[in-house]
Amino acid sequence: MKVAVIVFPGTNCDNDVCKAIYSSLGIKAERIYFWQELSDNYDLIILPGGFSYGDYLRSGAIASKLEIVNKIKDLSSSTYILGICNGFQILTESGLLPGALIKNNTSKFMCKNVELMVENTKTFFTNLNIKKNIFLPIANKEGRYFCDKETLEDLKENNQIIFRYKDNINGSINNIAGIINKQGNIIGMMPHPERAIIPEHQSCDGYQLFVSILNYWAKNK
Amino acid sequence: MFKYKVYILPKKSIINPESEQVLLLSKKISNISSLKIGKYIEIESEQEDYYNIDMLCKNLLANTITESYSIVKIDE
Repeated sequence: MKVAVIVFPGTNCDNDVCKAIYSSLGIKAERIYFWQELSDNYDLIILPGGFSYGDYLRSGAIASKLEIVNKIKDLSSSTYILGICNGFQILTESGLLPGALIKNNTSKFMCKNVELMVENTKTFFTNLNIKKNIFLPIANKEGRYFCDKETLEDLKENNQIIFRYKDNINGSINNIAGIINKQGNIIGMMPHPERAIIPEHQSCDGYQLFVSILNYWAKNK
Repeated sequence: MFKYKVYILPKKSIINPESEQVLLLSKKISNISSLKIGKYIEIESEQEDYYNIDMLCKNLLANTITESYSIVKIDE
């Protein structure tokens, strides 16, 4: 399994993601910088968290217009894509996932461990003995998920909501913390699974999520 | 040279904590009832092309899911 981690100017979670992939899957992920060409042979593309382009204009707005994101759009029918935090914002800005992420209703940068409810346990990221309630850290200021009523109905109907906050900490519509696209190969989530891997972290629930990817990929390749 | 002003505001249906907080404080200082914080962008173009500016707003400057925008042409 080949994994690419895309690095934009201002991305700061690429190292964490590479380490999480290595410690959970034993795979050395390749960092692809935004100016480099993304080849077709990756099985998983990860857009890590951070502050791409300093969050200018809106979080993820500028990164979503880059050539490398256009390439990811071209590959989006044939590969798995995971967007974490700023990666999720880039995915919504580029139109690969519905909705948008706006400022938390607390107006604060929120950084803490939160309890999440796993709503869909059949996706490529949540299929392997995942507990119903997991703990993952969040670290964002623009993490409030918003979409119109029709989109929300659509998300519910197609079982596209994967993670929901147990308590509505930031005003997200329907407590949404992570969603998947209709086709089932693009996931975006605000919490950071790569920061919940080893016992030194406050939670180890992210480990199983990453192992899920390999399990799903091995079954479906 | 043609000049345009672009005003971007969060949509009414979305709670905007920034505007709400500033309104709360402003009410103590001045007798106002509403306040909205958004973005203001000035654009210069060598050609008069309203359609192009509109496309730019739709595709980059504003996120039409959460924001509404208006374009005003400046006559000099």
